[in-house]
Amino acid sequence: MPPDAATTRPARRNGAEEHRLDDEVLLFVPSSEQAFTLNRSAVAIWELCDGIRTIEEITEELGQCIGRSRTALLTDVIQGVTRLYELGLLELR
Amino acid sequence: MSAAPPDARTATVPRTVYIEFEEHQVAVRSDAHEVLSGLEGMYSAMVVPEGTHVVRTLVVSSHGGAYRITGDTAFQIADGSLTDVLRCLRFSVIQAMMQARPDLLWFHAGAAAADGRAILLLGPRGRGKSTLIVGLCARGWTYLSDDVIPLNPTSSRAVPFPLTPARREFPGQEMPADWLRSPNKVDVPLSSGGLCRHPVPVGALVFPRYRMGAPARLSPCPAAEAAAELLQHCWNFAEYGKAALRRLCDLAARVPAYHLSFSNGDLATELLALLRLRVAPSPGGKRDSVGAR
Repeated sequence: MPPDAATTRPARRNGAEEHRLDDEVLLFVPSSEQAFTLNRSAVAIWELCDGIRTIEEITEELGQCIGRSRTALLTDVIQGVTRLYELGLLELR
Repeated sequence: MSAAPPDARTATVPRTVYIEFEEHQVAVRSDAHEVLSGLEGMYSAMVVPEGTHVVRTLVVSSHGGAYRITGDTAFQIADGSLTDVLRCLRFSVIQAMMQARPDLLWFHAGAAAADGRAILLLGPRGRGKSTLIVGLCARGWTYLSDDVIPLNPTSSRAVPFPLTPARREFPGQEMPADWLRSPNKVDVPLSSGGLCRHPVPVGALVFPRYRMGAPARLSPCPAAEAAAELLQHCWNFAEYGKAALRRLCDLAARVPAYHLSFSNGDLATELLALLRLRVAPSPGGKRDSVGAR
């Protein structure tokens, strides 16, 4: 079941090492010795997941940055957050 | 000439072969001529006449066609065939050199150099590294390795580890996993003039993939993905520690990286040869797709 966009506040898990390469990011999780690459869209979501903003607020901010409506973006942001959560990179508060 | 009596035993004088990498040697002692001969074939460009700084000694004994390796190696074998023992020796030597030089990052990769820069081909077995490296060397590139590349992380130079290149027989077929494990490679003779003798700066990273029927195509690989690939194919990343990740990211950020899909090794090699022109003047330059059918 997808997270509730109005109340869920995704937060980056501690411990992942971030390396920015061009407009992408390599995340390395030492505890699992796993590496992940985030493309530009995933990076934009990742950077806003501070445990304070809700998914709706993240969508709002992204929309302002790239000039798209919240309605148009919300599904993509929910999918992105869900994927990062499934990879163990985010916790949902 | 009279035949030897049935209970006669023949004695062969044991001999020691020394394999050298960066002034470190692994000594392999055996009275089994076929083992030492196979080892010398595998490491022909790395055999030296004597050991001055031996880091590991392995002893191979033979009993009625079965072989045993003793010595400090993780690849123990007690009752193996000649193929088994040669495979174990191959990995034991690599392991010993890795332990002797933990300051280097060790990759499952092949490399060849031209114009003072090396192309690294990284990937698991069956991706076509050897075929492509041998092809590049046939076009005048110098040979560093087809399977093992140590990298000096400080200078980003690839260090030659010139195992005798071994090309898979019958390339051009789909390769099931069990077939990849079988000993179906043939050694390709090295000419001494075609060997790269010194560490070379890395000019490009390539991640090849053999795909049945695929046109030869080089496409840019984003730096973050290249860094993740480097991590995946680095054998001693965990031992090297946190600094390794930074070094690999630096390398991926500075050096162009490409995915290469192909089914025809000659066409793929031609594409790689074109990179010679691209990587020589300015590493990190624009990355374009290149394709050929």
